[in-house]
Amino acid sequence: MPFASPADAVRVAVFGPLGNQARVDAIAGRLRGAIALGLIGNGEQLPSEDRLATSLGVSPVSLREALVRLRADGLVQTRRGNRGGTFVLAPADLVTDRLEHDLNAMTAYQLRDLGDLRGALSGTAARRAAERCSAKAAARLDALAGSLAGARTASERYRAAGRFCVEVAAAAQSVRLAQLELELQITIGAMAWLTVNGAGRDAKTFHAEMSEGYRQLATAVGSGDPAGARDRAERNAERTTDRLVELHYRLLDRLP
Amino acid sequence: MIARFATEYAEIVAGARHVGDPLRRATLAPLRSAIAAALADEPRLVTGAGVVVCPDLLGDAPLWLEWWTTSAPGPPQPLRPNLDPASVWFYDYTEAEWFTAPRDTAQRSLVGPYVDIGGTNDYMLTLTMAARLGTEFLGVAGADIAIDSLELVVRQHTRRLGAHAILVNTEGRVIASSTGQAHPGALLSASRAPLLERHSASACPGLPLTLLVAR
Repeated sequence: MPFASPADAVRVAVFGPLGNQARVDAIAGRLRGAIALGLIGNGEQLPSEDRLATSLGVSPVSLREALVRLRADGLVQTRRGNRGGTFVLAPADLVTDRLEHDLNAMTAYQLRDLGDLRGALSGTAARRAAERCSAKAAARLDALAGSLAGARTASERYRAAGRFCVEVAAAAQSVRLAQLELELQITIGAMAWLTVNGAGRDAKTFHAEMSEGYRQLATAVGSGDPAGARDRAERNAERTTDRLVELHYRLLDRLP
Repeated sequence: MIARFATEYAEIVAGARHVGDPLRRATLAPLRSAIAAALADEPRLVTGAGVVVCPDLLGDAPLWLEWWTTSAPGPPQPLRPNLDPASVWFYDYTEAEWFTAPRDTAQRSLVGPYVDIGGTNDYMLTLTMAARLGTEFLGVAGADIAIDSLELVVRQHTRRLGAHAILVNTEGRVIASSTGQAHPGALLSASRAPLLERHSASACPGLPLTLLVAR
C-alpha cells in the first residue's frame, strides 16, 4: 500500500483498523479460553449472535467466522429451530493441539512480556490482599490452594489456578485487578499446564512447585504480610513464565 | 422495599402449594414486576435486587436466583451465576454471609463491601432479609448497592458534619470516607490506632455500621 510518507505508515499501524483476521482470532481465542477455564459450562447456551457481537464489540460477521472455527474444533454446536441456539461442548480436558499451536506461534519475547504483566498484576493483588483480606477470604484462598494441589488433570489444574488468582484480586478488594487477572488467565493461563513431548515428570514437578507457591501465597496473605505476599506472587508468576518459555522451546525443537 | 419482595415471595410459594402446583423457577416469574419497580424507584443507589432461593425448594433446580441487575445500560438483566457444584466457578451462595446471616438470625444483614466474583463482579454491599412462610425458611430477598453510588450519597450527608468522617462496617472495613487517610475497602485494624483515636465513633441506627467523625 503506497504511503505519502513513513509517518503515514506509522499512523496506519497505530490507528488503522485491526485486520479482520486478527479480530476473528481474538474472538475465537477468548471463547476457547473461557470454555477451557470453565467459565462457560458444558451444554450452556451462548447468547444470541447479535447479543454476543454487541457485547464483544465486534461485527456480527467477525463473530460468525469465529463461531465457524469453534464449530470446526468441536467446541460449540448450533441447533436450529424453536429451541435453537449455539451450545458449548466442553471437552473433558485441555485441547492440547490447539494450545500447542498457539504457544508455538508466540515468541519468547511475547511470553516474557506477558509474564512481566502477570508479575505486576499478581504482585500488587497479593500485596493488597495481605493488607485488606478478611479472615473468611483468607480461608478461601487456603482452600483453593489445596484444590490446586489435589487437581490431577491439566484442565483441573488450570481452572483451580485460574480461580485462585482471581480470588486473590478479589481479596485485594479490586474489581479491575480481578478483571485483568481473568483476562490473562483466559489468554495465556492454560498453556503452562501442558505436558509437551511426553515429559510428564516435568509437568508433575511444575504442578508441585506451583501448588506449594500458591499455598505459601495464601499463607502470606492470611498472616497479613504484604511484602512477603507480593514477593511470593511475583516469584510464582516468574516460575510460570519460565515454564511457558521452556515449553515453547520444546515445541520448536519438535519441528523438522 | 426488600420486605415487599420477601412477602410476595412467600405469598407465591403459599399460593402454589395451596392449589397443589409444583414449585418451579417459572413460579417466581411474577416477582419480576415488583423487582423492576424497585430498581426503577432507587436507580441511584440500588443496582440489583431480587430473591435467592433456599436449596431444594424448587422442583426443577436445586439452586436458583430470581435476581435482576441494572449495572449495564438498558433494561434490567437477570443475574445468572454458575450454579454447577462441580465447577470451580460454582457460585455457592449457600455459603455467602448475605444468605446465611438472615437464615440463622432474625435480623437483616448488610454484607460488604466485597467483590462479587461470579455474580455481578462489581464492588458492592448486599442487603438481605429472610423470606419465611411461618417458620419455614424460603431463601432471602435483597438488594445490591454499588459502592460508588453509596459514596455519593454518604458524601452529601457527611458534608453537613463539617468534619472528616469515615463510614465502616462491623469488620472495620471502610465503606466511604471523606478523608484520604482511609480509602474505601481498607481495613481499619488495631494498627490504625492513632487514626481511630482522632475520631469519635457512633453507631448507625438500624444498620451494622459505624460512623467515625474527626474530633
